[in-house]
Parts: sequence; C-alpha cells; structure tokens
Amino acid sequence: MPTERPPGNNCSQLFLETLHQTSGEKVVRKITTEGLSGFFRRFLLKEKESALSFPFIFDHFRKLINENNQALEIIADMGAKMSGEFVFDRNYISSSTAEVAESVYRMIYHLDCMVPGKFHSLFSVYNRIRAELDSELEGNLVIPEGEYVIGYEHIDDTLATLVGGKNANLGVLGGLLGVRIPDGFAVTSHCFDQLLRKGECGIKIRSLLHQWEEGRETAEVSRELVRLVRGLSLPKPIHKSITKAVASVVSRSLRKKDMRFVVRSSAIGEDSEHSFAGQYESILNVLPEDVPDAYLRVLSSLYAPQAMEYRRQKNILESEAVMAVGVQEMVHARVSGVVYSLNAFEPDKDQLLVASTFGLGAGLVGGKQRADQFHVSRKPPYEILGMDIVHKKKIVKKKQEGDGVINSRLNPRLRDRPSLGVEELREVVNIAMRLEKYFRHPQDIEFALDERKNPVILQSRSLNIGQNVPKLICDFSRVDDNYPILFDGVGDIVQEGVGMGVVHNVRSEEELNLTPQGAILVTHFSSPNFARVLKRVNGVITDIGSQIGHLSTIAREFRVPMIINTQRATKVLKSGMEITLDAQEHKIYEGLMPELCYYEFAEDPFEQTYEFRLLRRLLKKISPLKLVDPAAATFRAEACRTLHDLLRFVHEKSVEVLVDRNFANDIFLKEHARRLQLTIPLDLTVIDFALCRTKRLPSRLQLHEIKSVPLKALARGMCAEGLWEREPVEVDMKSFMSSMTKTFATNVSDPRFVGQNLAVTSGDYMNVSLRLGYHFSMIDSICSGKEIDNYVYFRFFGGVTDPKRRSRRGRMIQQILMANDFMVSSKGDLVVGRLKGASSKAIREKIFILGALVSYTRQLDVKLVDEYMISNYVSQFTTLMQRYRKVGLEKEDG
Amino acid sequence: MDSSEKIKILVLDDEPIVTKRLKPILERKGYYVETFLKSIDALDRFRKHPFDLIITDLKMEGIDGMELLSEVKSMRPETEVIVITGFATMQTAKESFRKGVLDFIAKPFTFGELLAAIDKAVLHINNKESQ
Repeated sequence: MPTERPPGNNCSQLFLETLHQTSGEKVVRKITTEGLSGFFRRFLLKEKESALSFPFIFDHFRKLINENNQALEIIADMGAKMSGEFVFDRNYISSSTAEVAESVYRMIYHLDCMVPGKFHSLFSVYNRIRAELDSELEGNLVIPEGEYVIGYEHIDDTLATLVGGKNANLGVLGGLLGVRIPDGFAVTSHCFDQLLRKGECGIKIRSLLHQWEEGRETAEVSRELVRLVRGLSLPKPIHKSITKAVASVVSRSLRKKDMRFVVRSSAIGEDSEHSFAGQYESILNVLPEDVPDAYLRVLSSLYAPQAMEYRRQKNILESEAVMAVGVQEMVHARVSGVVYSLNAFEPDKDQLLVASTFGLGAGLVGGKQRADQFHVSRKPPYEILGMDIVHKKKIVKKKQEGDGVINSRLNPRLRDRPSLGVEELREVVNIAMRLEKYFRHPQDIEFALDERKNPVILQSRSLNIGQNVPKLICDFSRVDDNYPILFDGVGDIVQEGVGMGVVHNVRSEEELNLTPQGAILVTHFSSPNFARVLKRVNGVITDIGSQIGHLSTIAREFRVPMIINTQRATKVLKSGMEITLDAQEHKIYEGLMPELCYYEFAEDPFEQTYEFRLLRRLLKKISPLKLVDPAAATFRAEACRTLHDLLRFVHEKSVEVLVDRNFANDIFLKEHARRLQLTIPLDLTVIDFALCRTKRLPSRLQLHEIKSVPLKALARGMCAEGLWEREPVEVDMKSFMSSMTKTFATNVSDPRFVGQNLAVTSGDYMNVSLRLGYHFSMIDSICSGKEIDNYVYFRFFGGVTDPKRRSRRGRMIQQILMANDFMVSSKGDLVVGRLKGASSKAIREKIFILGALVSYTRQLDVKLVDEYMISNYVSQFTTLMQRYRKVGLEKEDG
Repeated sequence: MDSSEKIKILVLDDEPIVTKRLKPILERKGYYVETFLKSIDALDRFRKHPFDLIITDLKMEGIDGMELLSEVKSMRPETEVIVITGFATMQTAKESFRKGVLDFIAKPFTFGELLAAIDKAVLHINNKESQ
C-alpha cells in the first residue's frame, strides 16, 4: 500500500536481519519475495520518488557500497582459488557462490530503494543468472536461453555452453588483435534444444533413445534417429535466423561469386571437444542456400552409431549430448597447415613445428597427405632451423558442383616447391607464439593462407604435450647481469607470470583506446575501464591499486601478469620503453628478455578435477566484466551477463543517483543547512550529517567544526593562497550576451539555492555542487580508511563566453586532471574526471587539488583567448600545486 | 627411508577432492599416507593400525570429527590431530583444542598452511619419541 512517508531506514535493517536469521535456501526465497513485493510497493511510489529523504537514500547507498565490496572480495577470493595453490571443496564452491549472489541481490535491492522501480529489470536479470548458477551447482548441463544464431564477432568464452567449445574458441581468437578468423556464426545449443528436445520431435527422440537403452540395436536406432533429424523441416524462426545470418556473411564478404561455407559441429561440454573430434560430421564447400540442410546433416551426426556407442562407453548421458554448430565462410585456401607452437615430439629442442601443403587441408589434419615441415626456433626473431620439403603429387580442392572436396593432381611445377615462403612462415609463427602466450600453453593451430596469402586461423587448441616435458628453465643469475633491474620486490603481485613488451602509460580514455597489442599497461591507479584492453596487453603495472578491485579480478581471469602499488611506476616507466615484467620473481627489467617468457607447460592434474571445472564454469557466470564503459549505449541492465556486470552496473547507477540528486528540493537538507565561513568570498551551504544531532547549531560553521574529511580538504584547496582572483575579470560584451541565452540548471531552481553552493557531507562522504563565476562543478567523493571504498568524481561544465573559449578551458582542466592521475572523459566544456581505490591520503590530496582547480579556473575562460594560454595556465597551476604540496599538504598531515 | 620409519598420516574428509589432492603432495614430502572418505572406515583402520598424525574434517555423516577426535585421543593419546574444516567457528575451534587438537585450519587453505602445521606436528611427534 502506498504510504505518504517512504519506508525509513528500518526497512532495510529489517530486511538484513531477516537474512541473517535464516539460513541456506530459505534466505534466497525470502529475498525474492521480499524484493518483489517491496518492489511493487515501491513501484506505486514511483511518482513520489522525490519524496525520498536524503538520509534514507544515503543510508541505502552506504549499505550498497558495503555489499559491493563484500561481493568483490568473494569474487576475488574465488578467482584466487583457481591458481592451484588452495585446497577447496564443493561446500566452499556452493557457499561462496551463494554469498556473492546474495550480496549482488542486496545491492539491487538497495538501488531499488534509492530509485524505486527505475531499474526493475535488474531483478529478472539477476534471477536468470542466479538460476543458471544454481543449475550448475546442481550438476545440470545448462542450456542458456539465447539467440538461435550468434555471429563470431559477439562470441567469447562465456558463451561456451551456448555455442560449443570450437565456436567459443574461434570467437576468442577473433577478438585478439591481428588474428583473422573466417567470418561466420554459431547455431546455438538453444536452437538444438528447441529443435530436438521440445515438442513432438523431442518425444520421438526420447522414445527411440529409451528403446536403445532398453537393448534395441544401435544400428537400427541410429538409422531411425538420423532419418528423423534429417527429415525435419526447420521451424520458420530458426530457418529465418540461419538464412539471415548466412546473407549477412555473404554481404560482408569480398568474394562476390563462388561463396561457400563450412558447416561443422561444435560440441558442448568441456571434455567432449577432444574426445569427440572426428566423430561428428563436418561439411565443406556448402552453397549458401544449402546451409540449413547442412545444419540438419551435421546435427544428425550426433546419432551416428559410433557416436552413440562412444557415449555409452564413456557413461555420457543422452541428456548431456547437445550440439551447437559452426557455419563459416570457406577459406579458398592456397595453402593449409598446422602449427605446433612447441614441437611436441621433441619438446627439449625448444622449436615450433609447422606442417603445410598446397590447397585445402582436409587430408593434412588426418595425416593422409604428405606435407612440408618447417622447424623454427621459439626465440625471437624465430629463425628457421630446418625444413623438409616433400614431393607433393596431390592437392585437395573444392568440388565445382555440389558440396565436398576432391583430390586432384598438383601442377607439376609446384610439386617440389616449399608450400610456405619465408615471410609467410614468419607471419604464421608470430601468430602462433602470440596465441601460445595468450592461452598460456603451447597451441595446436590450424591455419590457411587465403587467396591473398593472408593467414587465417581456423582453430587453436591446447597441445597435449604429455607429462614428461621438462620445464623450460633458464638461468636467472646469468640473465640478471645483462638487463638493468628497474624494480625489485616493489608493490604487490596480483597475478603471477612473465610479460614483456613496450610500456604504454595511460592517463585518459583516449590513451587507453590507443593501447597497442602486446604492450605493458602502466597506470597510476587501476580503473575497471582498463579491463577492456586487458586481453591485448602482456602485463599491467600500477602505482596504486587494490588486490580485490575490478581490474585485479579481471587480470586473474585472463591470467595477465600484474603488479600493483609500486607507488612510482608511472614516473619511471615511460611510454615506448621496452621492459620485462616478471611477476613471478617480483622484478621489472629494462629491455625485452625472451629468456624469461617460458611457461611451465607440464599439465596440472588439478585442472582436470570436477571441482576445478565446476568453479571455473561458475566463475564464468560470476566474474567476467563486460559492462565497463558507463558512457556506452550498451551500459544497460539487460546487457548484464554476469554477477560482476550487475555489480558494476548497480554501483555506477547508485553513484549517479547521488551525483544527480536534486539537493535543493530536499526538506531535510534545508532544515539542517548552515553557512560555512571561509577565507574566500564564497557562499557555501553545508549540511553535515555528523552535526545534525548537535543542538543549536550556529548559523555559521567554522572549518574546524566540520567533521567531513573530504570537505576539509576541498575547502583548504579552494582557499589556498594566490588562487582565488579577487578582482572580477571584465567580461567582454560578446561573451556576456552568449551567457544570457542560457537558463539556470534545473537542480538549482529553488530560489534559496540559486547561485548558492551546496555541500552535503557525512564523515567520509561528500557531495559538493559549486557555481563559481560562470561555471558549475560537482565533486562527489568517499574518503575513508578503506581504499576500496574511496573514489572522487569530478564534473565540470557550463560557463559564459563563446564555445571556443569554453572548450579551451575544458581542455585545460582535462590536462590538469590527467596530470593528477584522474581518468578523464570530456565533451566540449563538460569534463568528467574519475579516480578510484586510492588511499585516504591520496584522495585528500586530489580533493585539495580539485578545490584549488575550481578556484583557479573560476573565471579563466574569459582569459583563454588563444590556445597558447592553455599550456601557460597549466604550468602555472602545476607550479602552484608543487608549492602547496611542500607547504600546505604537509601542514594538514601534521 | 623405508615405510616403517615414515611418519604415518591418516587423512579423513568426506569430499574426495580434499583427499585426492592431499595424498600426492604429502607423499612427495616423504610421509606414509592413507585417505578415507568415511569416518567409520577411518576409525576401523585406526584401531588396527597406529597413525602418528590424523588430518580430519569436522562435519561429516555418521561419526563426526569431534567424536572421532575423542575416540582417537582415548585410544592413542600420542597421535596428533589437525582439524581442517569449512565451518570454522570460535566455538568449534575451542572445543577441538580442549580435546587435544594440535592445529585448526579453516578450509579453503593453501598447501603451505597445511605443510607448516604438519611440520609442527612432526616436531611434536619426534620430541615425544625421543623422550
């Protein structure tokens, strides 16, 4: 029932108490019902959103932040368990999964309390992910709901149960810079489910399989099943999805005629891929219009007699036999080949092995065709150590009519020629080594050279190199002498491993986008934004950061070597420097040290245990973070695929709620508002929660009476000497006129607050809106003893004068923010700077600088008559800050 | 070192993953190891064959870790016991120590943590023997 007063703080208190009192499954059910009924109640209240009091919203925000950190800690903890160093059991897996899920649920709940009904779709997204997690825990094979077809460009390894291992692998490869895969798409396991599990067909199949289980002949049952599947007519929506996907591959292709496809199985389940290899059908050279038929043919091979027998032998339940299919544009290969990034036959020699032949590789993989062999050193620059060029009589070509391939005679001139040239070989080897590095294991790679002789990767999987491989160890004592050590034992290791590359020092979104493949990312702090380039870097080094932050979690997920808290990496490691990051021995060397870049290749049986695989499957639904850029159009509740996505989304939105809050219209805030006495002529109204209970608060507050740590830092910065220019700058007429056309921002529309500056604070939290001169600034921050809680959000916009001058000022502020380690994004005069996860001291310092910056730039735009002035003012400000760092900030610490 | 000189360790946990992973690592360290999934089997074996050290879970079907602990200590007080549990509370920890447990490790744990506890136990065992 809607009530006049919104539910108070007790509401969430009660809710959490209920949670603590119950245990196990009950908790979940309770949350769900409480959440839903609460949600509908609040939905009715939606109209009264503005009636929610600030203390109420703030209380939920703080609780939300707590849950956020708790969930992140558990996710990080679960991720750390993948390292192999820990002994954990199923109880651990299920209880931590439940804990993370419940924390994320409570975050959604708190956000819903802050803005009732606004993000209601979060509940259903959560329920979906939660159901998948529970289902995994119960040991069911989960076929996620999804599209019938998914293009390779949208596939990554989290979709493995939807698209199968092979497709997922290709999707991952396609996502790596510089690796080309055939264009194509996956027909999903969801499609399989609809087709062969649901409805009448599902009943028929189950009944046949039942007969087989009861003892009917395999051959007979298989024949009937295959006939049944091949005879199906695809339901319209499925048929349409497939033909549409085919058409879009055709339209993207450079080839206008002779377009052909390869249709092949992509089995679901982690073990099945290897063991089923070759059992299911692959159809080459399929005409576009025949793809739907070929799809059914490939599906039907699931019920080939040998496949059914195989499953029976291996105790694989028929309910687990699920097939996704890959449909790829056929590469008209001039040359086909296979690379072992480590010669598995003679691993001690430390060489790559490449085998190749002209034409298609159909016979090559099966070993039916003679192939040239190349032995290449694994050390850059990958010298060719030997080749064995064979006499090649035959070539496999596609049939001109119909699908399939034929064996024909090879042009006599080519028979004794090497099938790969030196340059082509080098290109293939480079890719192979890169893939090995990415997958952290020697790879078995199928490739082809297309008609333009460009390498296309058709598949890459872990090479089985057996147990007896000696580890490739190098002599560290010898290595050390040749390369200067830049850092030794400095900072904390987040992810072990060795990475080498060129330093890329990132301070802004723009610079982040320019991160080259194989770089070592060096940043002042760790922002979740970096996650999107993590896949293409060889290592990450930060000045500050947190073991349990977003980026650390992702680095572990991708196994990217990472060291944080070096304090001064950005000062020492400049863009363009070549370095080797050894997060095993905890050292950073100048120069590239290929000697260090070997991995322990011997397989750890731990990774074969059920518990490991279960944890990994669960983590795929928990920890990958897709939603990293809050400015992207895809930053929506519906786009959340994992708990981490949800967590990130909710966190970002909750900060937005506070940032955009209409402080001026809040009755509570008005009652407790006081003026702050400052040494500069600035009207700053303060609402300090910590002082609200103080009786007979004076109408004016002195700075020392303020309890809020960040506000003190800000006020000190604003009042820093020499920054606040006391004489108003004369505004020329043109500038003044352009400001007349603007109206006041709506959030200062209350007459009492127009032109006023407002700070809402509570101990370690602060939200300040300032209208100084002709521009608006907003600073939102938490500055506490817990680094993971801490952040500063700064927004700057507005201003008199013409757009050119305004954007000059925007650029100036951007430069200053960047120099002070903020992540910056800007659009004209709107500049947003973010900084997260720093120590209380660092945050105070940054807030001090923001305060100074706000004062300093108060009327600067009027003066910014040309570009040159920007750097002039930037350096002037920097000098001033350096002076204050010596004097002002130390005073504060003392 | 022949098997009669080796320190004999009995590992009991109802989750196979725990015994499966501990056995090879302890064996590599030179211990004689037997593993059990059911406490009743472990107790049967212990009655017939003395072990120097028992590494056991607490919460199990049938005879739980606490009962097993009392039985073992009354049969052979010199046997050291290390508890590994996923339900570590102050109360269970206190009770275990009262019953003579040498160390109490919360699951999940690292091999390093367990090996350190075992080193301590071996020191105790050797001291008792030399006395």
